[in-house]
Amino acid sequence: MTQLLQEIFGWFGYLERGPVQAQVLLVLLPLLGLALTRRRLRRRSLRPLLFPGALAVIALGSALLPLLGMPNGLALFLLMLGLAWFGLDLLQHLLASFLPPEPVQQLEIRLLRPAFLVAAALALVQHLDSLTELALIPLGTWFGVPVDLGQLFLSLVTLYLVAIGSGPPASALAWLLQRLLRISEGSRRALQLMLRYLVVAIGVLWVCSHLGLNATAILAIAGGLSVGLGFGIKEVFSNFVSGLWLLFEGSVRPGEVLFIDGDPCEVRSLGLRAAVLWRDRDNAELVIPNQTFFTTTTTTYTGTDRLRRSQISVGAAYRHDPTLVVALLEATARTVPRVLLQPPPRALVLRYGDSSIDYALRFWIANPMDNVSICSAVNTAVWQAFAREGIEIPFPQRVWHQAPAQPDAPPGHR
Amino acid sequence: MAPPWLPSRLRLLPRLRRLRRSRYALFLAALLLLGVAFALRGLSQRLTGAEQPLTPGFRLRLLTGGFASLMPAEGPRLRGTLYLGVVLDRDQVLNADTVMDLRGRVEELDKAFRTVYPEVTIQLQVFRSDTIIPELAARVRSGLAPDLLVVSGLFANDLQLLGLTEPTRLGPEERRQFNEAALDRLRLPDGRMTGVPLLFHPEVACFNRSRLDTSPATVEELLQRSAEGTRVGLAAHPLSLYWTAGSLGANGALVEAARGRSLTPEQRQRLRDWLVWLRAASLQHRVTVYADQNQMLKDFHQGRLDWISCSSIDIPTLRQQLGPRLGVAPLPSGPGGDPTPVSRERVMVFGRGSSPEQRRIAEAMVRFSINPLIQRNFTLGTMAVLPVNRFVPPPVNSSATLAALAESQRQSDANPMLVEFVHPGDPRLGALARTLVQLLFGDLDPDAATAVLIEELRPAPHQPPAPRR
Repeated sequence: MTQLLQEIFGWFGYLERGPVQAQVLLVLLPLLGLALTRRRLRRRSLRPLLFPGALAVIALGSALLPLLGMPNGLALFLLMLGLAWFGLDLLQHLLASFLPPEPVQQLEIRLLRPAFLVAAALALVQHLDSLTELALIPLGTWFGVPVDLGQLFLSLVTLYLVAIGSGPPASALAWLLQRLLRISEGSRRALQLMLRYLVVAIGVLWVCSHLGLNATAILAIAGGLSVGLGFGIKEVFSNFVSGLWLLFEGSVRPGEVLFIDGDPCEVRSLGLRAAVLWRDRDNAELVIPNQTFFTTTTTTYTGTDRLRRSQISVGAAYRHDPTLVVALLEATARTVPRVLLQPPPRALVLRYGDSSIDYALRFWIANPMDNVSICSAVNTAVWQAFAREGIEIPFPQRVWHQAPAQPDAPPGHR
Repeated sequence: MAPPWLPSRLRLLPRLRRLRRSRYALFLAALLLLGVAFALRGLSQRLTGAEQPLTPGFRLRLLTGGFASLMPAEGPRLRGTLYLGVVLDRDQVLNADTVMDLRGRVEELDKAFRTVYPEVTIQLQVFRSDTIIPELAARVRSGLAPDLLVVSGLFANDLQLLGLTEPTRLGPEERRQFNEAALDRLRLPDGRMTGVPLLFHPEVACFNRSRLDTSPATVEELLQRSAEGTRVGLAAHPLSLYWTAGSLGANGALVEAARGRSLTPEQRQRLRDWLVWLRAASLQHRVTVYADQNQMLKDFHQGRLDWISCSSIDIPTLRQQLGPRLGVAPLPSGPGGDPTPVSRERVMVFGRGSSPEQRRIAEAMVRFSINPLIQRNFTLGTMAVLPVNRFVPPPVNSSATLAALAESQRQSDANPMLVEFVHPGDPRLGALARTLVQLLFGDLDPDAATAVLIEELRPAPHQPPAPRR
């Protein structure tokens, strides 16, 4: 590490050269001017033009340097980096016209900008020093294997790329398999996640192999991890393993609908630590540790199919023939959109209540998340049908009666 | 407004906050960053500069050794960073061992140099000869070229011709340190030098002492021993195989062909004999011809080979791996006479774009590196290089390795060599390499290869005149 620091400090020695100072100033001054002007510029429409303007000034200055007998390669190189940065902005706008904003933002933040910054840093280092030589700087011996800077850098970049970049290929492959095998949407999402974990696992193994870690070293790491897991990150690991298990089991996959605290919620994602569920009632997202699903009973509407049997209750006066009421209820349910005709709606006489005969109308719906709105529609249709057919929905009425006061009654007996 | 009872340091905070909003904030921040960077660099220099000199009394020995001119007794003191580039040959392995070995040597040099110039920092940069020209050109365009480059002697003139390095003039004191022949190779028509010789890396035989007591003295004995069980490795690269041309008497024919002169029937026959021997050697059961010299070195140190021809550049690494089992000897002679090993001369060339101070440091480093004391230290410290300074005779009686290196150097100096006419960048060298590979792997027979070689070595009409020897 000392050697690396010495190399980095050594780069500043180039500032002893006049032409290098001139090139650095040529790049820094317009950028400083840009930063100062941007804050004070009142016309916002002109702000997007500032950065290209600064680049133009740098380009002009770079063109003038050879006339003064000075080299301009460094200034041109930095100018190219600036242009590439500006190009990334343009690319973002271009992608935004084809793709939804969220993937574009993720692509930019997670892949494009970091990749550009790493490539720019490497190119700059190659300008100042020798990358090959820097890569060979030893960092020490890890688990009996000598590790140098290049190996470490390549390993980290590979892990990052595998973790970030495995998403789109895994998604594409899962989509292809869905088409070929005709699997459900939930299975496709589970498959996508599992493919991603597989790629990441292969990436980790490759990194171990690239570093030259032998089986003993890997066992040592595993031993160390087990101690760490036992003490510190037990919960995290437990959640991770639970997540994997749930994926294989298929009970909590993205797209599934679970009953959480009395509300149907849709599983949005199953992460390493927790699952994210969406609750329709208030558009809330619930982050629930994977372990919860592993250890408690879970009610799902999407285990074998996505149908849900729903039910409303209604009472009719004793004077109406239950056969007619049952027929009317079933006919009414069939008219409501989003109520499935097969299996057919069924109305049942539940009990003879205090003031009414109680009926239940059971019907099937295709999307469990629509239960509340469909129940509302069915209830409305039943009221209208009862009103049309003159069927009374009785309800208990409370009559307040105040007894007259008795003058000779003892206190406390009124 | 900060309350008056606050310590004065804390009362500064609101002012700093105002400063953050001021128009000079970024400029001040940049200045501050630069200041911190310089301070850290100074600290780094101070830390590394605090090391002890190479040996006690080193400074005194420099003074008493007749090199008072090295001492900064007059004029301004030298202070700054010297960017020292080392260019590895195409067949040199660039790995952690190579870089560590180079760093070790440069650190030794650095320590010695700091004894005289304590405020100079040396920054090592490693390049490869196959990429040095575009890389150096890019650095020259940026003003970031190394101040001093250590390159193969065959490269120095080419780099200067391309305008990538600065020529220099040697004073009479410095010129006196070298043989005229060594300087002639680097001299420009106007008397300036494209570089200054630093050291030699001769080509020798490396063998495993646990398998062989002595190295074969002749090429016939080499094949005889191979038939008896010795595993021999030969690199297919022309410069690595060139020693056999001398042993088989084909060196003169190759040089004549490269000069564009027609060959006599006898020279042609010798050329053919050489190729016949190479073909016969490649057909031996225990002779392996390697297209990749690095693989040959790896097989040798892993015990799969017993005898190879190697450059003295590789000796430190091999010594580290084989220890006392490594034997070094002169290459075998033959019916044509002594071998003609290619000795790789390292020269120092001045980079372009250095500041005046850095150029002065580079010049001081050149003067320092060629003085007899340092040259002797180079030789004895590595036991793998020979000095260029004519006042530093290698102690051949005390070291068999140095004796072998000196003998190889003598053989190399005795005859005009093909590499003086065909430089590394010359397409003829590539053509020669291809023909040799085709011969060794059986695609061409010796007769056809002889004709092809003569044709390929002929200089193109626009070929620049070869430098004087």
